[in-house]
Order: sequence, then structure tokens, then C-alpha cells
Amino acid sequence: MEISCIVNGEKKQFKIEPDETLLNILRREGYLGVKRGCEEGNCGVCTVLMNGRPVNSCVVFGAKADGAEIITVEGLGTPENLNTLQEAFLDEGAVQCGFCTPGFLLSATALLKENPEPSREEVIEALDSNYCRCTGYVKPINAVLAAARKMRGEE
Amino acid sequence: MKNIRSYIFPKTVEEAVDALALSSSARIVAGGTTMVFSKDARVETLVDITRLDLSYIKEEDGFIKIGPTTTVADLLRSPIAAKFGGGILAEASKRVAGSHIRELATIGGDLAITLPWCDLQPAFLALDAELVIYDGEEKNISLADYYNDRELMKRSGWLIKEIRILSDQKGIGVFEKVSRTKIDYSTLDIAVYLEKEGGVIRSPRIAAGCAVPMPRRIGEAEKILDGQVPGPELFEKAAKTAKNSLRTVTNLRGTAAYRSHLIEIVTRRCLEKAWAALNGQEA
Ligand SMILES: Cc1cc2nc3c(=O)[nH]c(=O)nc-3n(C[C@H](O)[C@H](O)[C@H](O)COP(=O)(O)OP(=O)(O)OC[C@H]3O[C@@H](n4cnc5c(N)ncnc54)[C@H](O)[C@@H]3O)c2cc1C
Ligand code: FES
Ligand code: FES
Repeated sequence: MEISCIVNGEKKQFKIEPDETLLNILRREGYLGVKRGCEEGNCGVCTVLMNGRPVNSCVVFGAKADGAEIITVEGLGTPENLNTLQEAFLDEGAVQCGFCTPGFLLSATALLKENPEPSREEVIEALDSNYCRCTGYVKPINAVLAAARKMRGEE
Repeated sequence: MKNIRSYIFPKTVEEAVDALALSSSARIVAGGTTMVFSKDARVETLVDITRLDLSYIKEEDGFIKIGPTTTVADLLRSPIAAKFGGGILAEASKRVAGSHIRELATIGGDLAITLPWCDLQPAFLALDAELVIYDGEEKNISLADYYNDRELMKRSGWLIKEIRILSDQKGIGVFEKVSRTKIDYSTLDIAVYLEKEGGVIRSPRIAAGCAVPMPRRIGEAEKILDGQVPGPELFEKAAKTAKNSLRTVTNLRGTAAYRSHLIEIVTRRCLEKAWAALNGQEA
């Protein structure tokens, strides 16, 4: 079957199998920032935004993306021009191996759009679906709080 | 899912039911968080019901009406869930998986099947929810009866079209999920609902899920509470009865014996909390 959707602001059409996951489709189409991890909905490395909401793309039937707006990490800043959140992850040392980072960035993007002034508890809640095996979570949490302050013009 | 030939978005509820009735190889997809892992080789057609305007939460005609494709996240964000029955629906939705799965999983999908991780079931049982089943005609069935309706479960060509809760319920509900980590599958779910009239308990409801073969009300324990003046002994007796009335299961999340032990403790705690809240205190 064929679906059309908007990925990172660009109109796209994909030929897909009716039982394929969104994760599979996005990786095949070259969005390699969407990582393949557990494929069971647990680890969060496959996180994308679908119509603004953070979801595990490995548990989304690709057909559901028809007509939807998808944002992957490729739709945030570029390597030459990182966005505030990405910069904060570097500044705070929130990236070690980096495998989990796209997922964290997308979860945090959804949070900050909805709630520009999150408490530490709210950040933890919003990152509850992303595993990180390196950093111990403190630094990613600090990075999101730092980015929020910066985006509010406090730093 | 090896044999899927088509994935369709019916335009109306009728079209959905027709597609499901047409062939025993068609299945409903709502959020898809369970279906996406299905290994059932008989399934050939997936019927997605999320584009039928069945996502809503509203108060109307004496009921709180919830559309089946409303996501758990939307329920959690809704003001009705936060305040109705002491906020039990918000408490229960908060404990469904993590925040991302909640954006996908639907209320209908969580209530429809009896898998051991569907955390909304005890809370909806404690609020005495009913389902509107549509198979060409509408028919209402209490959620408690639904789980015993094997005949319906075997049939195809129907869906849960709405979930209803009587809005004139002045009591307090309490939900508790025991799990190894905050977002792990449940070891045990207990939900309790109590009303207060004079100094006595009215309309007591206790429901268990996840640890038991089928989610269910614990009528044996409810009987002990109805019309009684509460106190530690009464709650203890009801909690013990709950434990003795339920057959529990052993799986990765706990042994049957451990779960039986938990039922008594958690039921008592939920009863104490609910009664304290009815009296404006914290337990
Ligand atoms: C990693 C992970 C962790 C999870 N953890 C939890 C948890 O802790 N607690 C929890 O409660 N849930 C959890 N879930 C969600 C779990 O999958 C759901 O409880 C559930 O079945 C979700 O609903 P859905 O809409 O996604 O279901 P779907 O997969 O779309 O459907 C589930 C079943 O219900 C049927 N169905 C759906 N809608 C209807 C309807 N309106 N009428 C009749 N039948 C219908 C479908 O045919 C299918 O058989 C988790 C899911 C994942 C992937
Ligand atoms: S790969 Fe999707 S959650 Fe792990
Ligand atoms: S930085 Fe390695 S998993 Fe998070």
C-alpha cells in the first residue's frame, strides 16, 4: 500500500507493507537517527513525534502515518547548526555513546513545546520512556532543564 | 504478522463492523500496541478504527461517555478523569506503561482484551462501567459481564462503541498497582470504590486485575462491607475474604502465593484510603 505523510516538514510518499512498523519504514527511507533497539516498545531509541506526540515508532503500524506529520531527530538542528536543546545536551555532558540521544531529544522537544517551564519531576516524567545505559539520567535531565531556561531567555 | 494482506481505515462504524463480520481473518486495530506484536497467522485484514470520531470524553444524559479510541494519555489529561470518583481514572491511567505508550494505547483496547497487563480494567470495574457493543445494533453490557461473555468474545463483527460510567456517583475510588518498577507490567492491580451515607459504607465495590485469570469484581468481599460502620476489623475481614476468593496466577512478575498475600494487604490499604478520603482525611 502507499501512504503519504510529512516528514520533517517535507511531503513524502512511501510504498509500505500493510503490517510494517513506522520504525522499519523510516529507517528504510534513510532516517537513520531513528534507532532500532528492543523493538518491543520499551527502550525508546525509536522515538519520533507523530502529530506532535512522542511515540515509540516500533509499535506504530506504518499505515497510521498516512496523513500524519512525523518529526525525527533529522528534523531538529543540523550538525553545523544545532538547536538549543541539542547544544544543552553537549554542554551538560548528556551524551556518551549517543545511541539513546535522538529519542531523548524528541521526548524533550515534545515536553518543552507543551510546557516551557517544566519542574524536574515533569522532566523525569517526560523522559520515562527513554532508556540510557551510559549517563545515569542525571545529565540528560539537567540538559533539558538548562535548555528550558535558555529558551525562556533566562541564561 | 506474516499473512496480513490489507490494512484499512473504514469511514463509518458500519463499514468497520461489516469488514469485521465479512471474514474471520479480520481484526480491529485501535492503538495497535498489542496488535503490532500479534503472531496470529490467521489474521489477514487489519481494520483501523481510530478515524471514526470515536475519541472523546464527555458528560451527557447522566453518563460520563468515553469513546473507545480515546488514548490513555488523553484520559489522563482530561479534567473529568482528574476529579471524578476522587480521581481514580487519572490514578489508573498514570500507571499504564510509560508516557509514550500512553499516547498510542486506547481505552477500548485496554478494556477489550484480558491480557495480564491491562491496568484500566479494575478501575473501570470499580466505577461499574458499562460498554456499548455495536454489531449492527447497539447493546449495553456491564463491563463485569463482558469479561464472562465467552460467546461474544468468540464472535466477530462487533466492536466496543462507547464506554459509559454513571455520573451520579458521589463516592471515592482508589487504585493501586504493584509493580517492580514504575512502568513495568503489573504484579497486582486493586481498585476500590466506596460511598458514605450517615456513618456507614454504601455501594462498596472492589475489583482486581492482572494477578488473576480474569479481571473481576470481588462480590464476596463487597458483601461484608455494605451498610457497615467501618473500622480496622471490618476492613481486615473484607481484605482476607478478597484474598480467599481469588485464584491468582504465577508468571514472571510474581508467584501466585505472593500475589495472594498482596491482595489482602493492598485491598485493606485501598479501603482505608478510600474511607479516609470520604472523611476528608489522608490515610
Ligand atoms: C511496551 C508496552 C508496555 C505496556 N504496558 C502496559 C501497562 O503497563 N499497562 C497497560 O494497561 N497497558 C500496557 N500496554 C498497552 C497494552 O498493549 C494495552 O493495554 C492495550 O491492549 C492497548 O490498547 P491498544 O488500543 O493499543 O490496543 P490494540 O492493539 O489496538 O488492540 C488490542 C486488542 O483489543 C481489540 N480492540 C481494540 N479496540 C477495540 C474495540 N473498540 N472494540 C473491540 N475490540 C477492540 C483489538 O482487536 C485487539 O485484540 C503496554 C504496551 C506496550 C507495547
Ligand atoms: S526500539 Fe522501539 S522502544 Fe525499543
Ligand atoms: S548515551 Fe549511551 S545509551 Fe545513552
